[in-house]
Amino acid sequence: MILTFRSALLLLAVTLGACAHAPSHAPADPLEVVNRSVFAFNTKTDKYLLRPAARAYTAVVPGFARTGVRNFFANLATPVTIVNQYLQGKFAAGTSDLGRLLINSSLGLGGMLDVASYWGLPAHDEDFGQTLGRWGVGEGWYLMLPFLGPSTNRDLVSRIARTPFNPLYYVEDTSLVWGLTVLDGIQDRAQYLNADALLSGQLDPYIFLRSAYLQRRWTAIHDGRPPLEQSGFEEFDDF
Amino acid sequence: MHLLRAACIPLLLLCHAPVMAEAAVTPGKTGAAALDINSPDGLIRAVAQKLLDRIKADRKVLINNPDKLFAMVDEVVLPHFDFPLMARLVLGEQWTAANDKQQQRFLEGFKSLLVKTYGNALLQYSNETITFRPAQLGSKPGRASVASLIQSAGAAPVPMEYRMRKLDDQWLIYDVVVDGISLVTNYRGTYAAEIQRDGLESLIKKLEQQTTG
Repeated sequence: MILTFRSALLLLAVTLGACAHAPSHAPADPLEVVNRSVFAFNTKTDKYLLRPAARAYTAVVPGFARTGVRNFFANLATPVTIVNQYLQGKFAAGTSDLGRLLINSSLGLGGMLDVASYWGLPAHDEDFGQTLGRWGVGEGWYLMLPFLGPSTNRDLVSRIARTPFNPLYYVEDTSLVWGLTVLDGIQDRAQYLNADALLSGQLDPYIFLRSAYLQRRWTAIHDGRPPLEQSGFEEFDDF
Repeated sequence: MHLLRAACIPLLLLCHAPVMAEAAVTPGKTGAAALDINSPDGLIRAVAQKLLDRIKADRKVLINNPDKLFAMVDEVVLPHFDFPLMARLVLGEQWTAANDKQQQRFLEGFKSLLVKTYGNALLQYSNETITFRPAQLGSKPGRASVASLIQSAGAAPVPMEYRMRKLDDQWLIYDVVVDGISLVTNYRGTYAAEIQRDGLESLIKKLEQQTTG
């Protein structure tokens, strides 16, 4: 039942996602009205729930331990990166990431220590959204998901497709999975605490976040080196 | 499941200054004193070093007295930004449509907004390490970018890039790109929407209110 629902959602999202890339300063956001109310909801949830939790986490847990926690979750996400490296034809990088997974899961004590980085295997970040982008699928519409934050049709597909590649999917102990999921949410949020004032100080935080999210994804698809003509101010490139 | 993941990523924009605040700014091999401020990366390192020193010396005063903080940012950081160009890039087509007076008012408002944002962010960070890479020359003569990497406990390393251009023999920053997010592009998107809804005059007024308040 759930699977059927997922496939239907997947199909819908792929269909919607098959649009061209729009510049981040003028994106396709036909659901803006809905998105904005979800954003308002998310902002409230963040203010009263997630942000306080993240602040407490940062205050209580020492830095080295937080780094360990982050490494642990990054390691869990490595299978997704590996699969997508191969799907994008980046075989050397994919194999290097496979090495990272093996080294960090064992010598790195279940991923908490990033031993592989010291050995010259740097971390990469790939997902199905980036792969689809590489394959020429446009991002589709900008979406604001309840609790989960910014997304697009393409990234929603990615979010669903990656589920079976996360080792947590196969853990049967529900309370453990929930515990880890909550911890991941908190540690992820904690990484952005210093930046809160910037967003809330914007004339229109919704648009600021939308532009930032789309830019960041565009850069990720191009592995940090997006084509310059996409910078959005090419018509002023006369200086 | 990453709750509100990315919801706050853009917030990292401009927060690089604080990084410099207490960070171990890695000086060049020749030492900070010998930095060549005529090269793009030498300049960025020198400014970072200066900022670090100032904050170390006056941290308490700057925390308790925002005006002094903003004045410090004004003095140390501002001369190295190309604000007229930034304002033009941020407004895009609207820049040409605006009259001289509006351009000037926007420029002033945008500048003080950035000083405030930058200054407030400055005091939030601690214990980050920042490493600079050598400057890369741009596609056109007189353009360069300096990449750096910010590392802090419990967080993914954040790449930050300064885009610079040479004007009258001086390197000036015209954009800062944090984790793939360009400051100029982001403000441009936000302001374009604002202008479309309420017009340029309204945007300028809001900026002026925000920065005098």
